[in-house]
Amino acid sequence: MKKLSIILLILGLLTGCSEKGTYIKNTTPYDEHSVENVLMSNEHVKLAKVLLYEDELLAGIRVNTFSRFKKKAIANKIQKKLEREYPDLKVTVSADSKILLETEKLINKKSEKNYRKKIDKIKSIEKEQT
Amino acid sequence: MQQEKYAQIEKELSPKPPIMKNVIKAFLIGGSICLIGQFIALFYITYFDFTERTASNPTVATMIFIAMLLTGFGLYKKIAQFGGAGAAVPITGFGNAVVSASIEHKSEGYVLGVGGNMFKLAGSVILFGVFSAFVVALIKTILVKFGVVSW
Repeated sequence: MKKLSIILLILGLLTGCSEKGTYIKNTTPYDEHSVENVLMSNEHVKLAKVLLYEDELLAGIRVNTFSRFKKKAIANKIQKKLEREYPDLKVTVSADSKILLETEKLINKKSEKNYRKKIDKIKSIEKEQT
Repeated sequence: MQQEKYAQIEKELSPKPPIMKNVIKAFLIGGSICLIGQFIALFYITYFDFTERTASNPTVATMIFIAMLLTGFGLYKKIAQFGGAGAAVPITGFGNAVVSASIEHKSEGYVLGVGGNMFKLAGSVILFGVFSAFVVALIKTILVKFGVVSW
């Protein structure tokens, strides 16, 4: 029993980190391919969840383990690139796992009813310093 | 001459501390405390409106609260005896130092006893913590001014 639980724990810990790639949900007429290009061209990015809604572009990214020390700089770089690609959109890029988590929740939601409210909430907690 | 002789005899007689064993124990205990802290931080990130940056404050508070309970029930000293520096260096060791000092001096009254002796051990941590933070911030400010690094 004890052995089994340890094996399950190790498996759970190992599989928890294996999600990779870029997931994009687009509800706007904008083309989302350049988002994918920008994110995939950065070798530090492991996982990205992107949501395009009305005039917002929300991107939560997870960087490779040893790039975590400079994750803020990586996010800023991607944000600048995306702002150049989409001058009409309000771009928010964050390497914080909370933003990734909340963006994923929004993407998985079926109805788009509360999107505006939720996006404003995510943006406000992203700005908090302390 | 006498003093040197004493030091030599003392060195010969006293048993050698098992440094490697102590280091491994400290690594395990300190690592476990930090693992628990990481889980608490994840809990705050997942269920409350905290980001990775803002979750550190409630996490520290929770860790100190747990250390306070463990100190009160007399369990933290057992952990510290086994773990050594691994239990003293994380924030829980600081909490333990504050709480154990205030428990010890409770019999002298709340103001002069608890209030006056609470930071007997932890006072030096605060002093040198604040001072080293000041020095590091000073160095970073200078480096930013000269454009070597950015904030």
